[in-house]
Amino acid sequence: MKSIITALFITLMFSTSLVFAHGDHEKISPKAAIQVAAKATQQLTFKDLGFKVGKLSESWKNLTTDDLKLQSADGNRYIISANNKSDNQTIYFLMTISGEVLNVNSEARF
Amino acid sequence: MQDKEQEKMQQATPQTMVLTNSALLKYTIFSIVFAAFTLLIIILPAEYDIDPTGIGHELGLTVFHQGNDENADQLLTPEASKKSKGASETIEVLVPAGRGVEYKFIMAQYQKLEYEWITDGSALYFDLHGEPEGDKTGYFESYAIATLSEMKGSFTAPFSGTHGWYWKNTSNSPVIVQLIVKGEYSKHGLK
Repeated sequence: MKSIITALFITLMFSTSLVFAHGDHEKISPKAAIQVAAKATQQLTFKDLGFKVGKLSESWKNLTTDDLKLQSADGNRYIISANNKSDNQTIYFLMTISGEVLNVNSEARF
Repeated sequence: MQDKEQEKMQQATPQTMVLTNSALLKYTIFSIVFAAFTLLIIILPAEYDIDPTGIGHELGLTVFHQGNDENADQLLTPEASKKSKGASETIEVLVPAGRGVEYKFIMAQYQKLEYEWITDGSALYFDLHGEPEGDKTGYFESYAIATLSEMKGSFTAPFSGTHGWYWKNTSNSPVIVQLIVKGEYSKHGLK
């Protein structure tokens, strides 16, 4: 009986530490992913960050979050599209579920 | 005499507490109930915005999640950001070659600022710091000092005053810093 209770106590101790660990660092919401893409769009108007789209023109600075849409959230990846109505262009952001931008492309294929 | 010494010895010896199985079981059940209560009332509302009892909201624990989603609906243009303290604002700061500039935000105590900045070229020495309102002694408190070409983070103003960056460009060509901020502040600009 004592060993069962001891085992239960140890299990509870480990479970508690998992509860207090911040699991949120591993996954962001689709809305937060759109915010990341919006911020990345602003940065791409300032500097070529090494992605396929290169440096974006000034017109991309006027984008609003209404112009950004979640295209897919398959597996561990988000794909967000950003539509520049004034230039009639769309770019796509491939990012991890934790919000790291992996690539920015003019096509949705990565 | 000997009896008294023995009594003293017994008092000095730490007492061992023997727990019976039923007592252990009772304490374990109490621990489980307490953990479940803490999970339901504190951890779920604060960490995950799940508040089935409504007590978390009453205690102010769900405040950590307010604004996260609504900010996504805000525009990114500076005009729009003036309408809401929760919107992002993009600022570009020129740091001339061989010189330093200071860009500060006027913030009240405990106001928070999230930031992300990148340079268009080389890394810059910077000192992210705050100066108390009305101070004439030259006192300032540094929050971060490094030489980087990009940085992301947030800070809560420990006192009312001006808070921001001193960037120093030691290269031979000018460097532009793009600063994206979101938070609570009344004014900002070059100092």
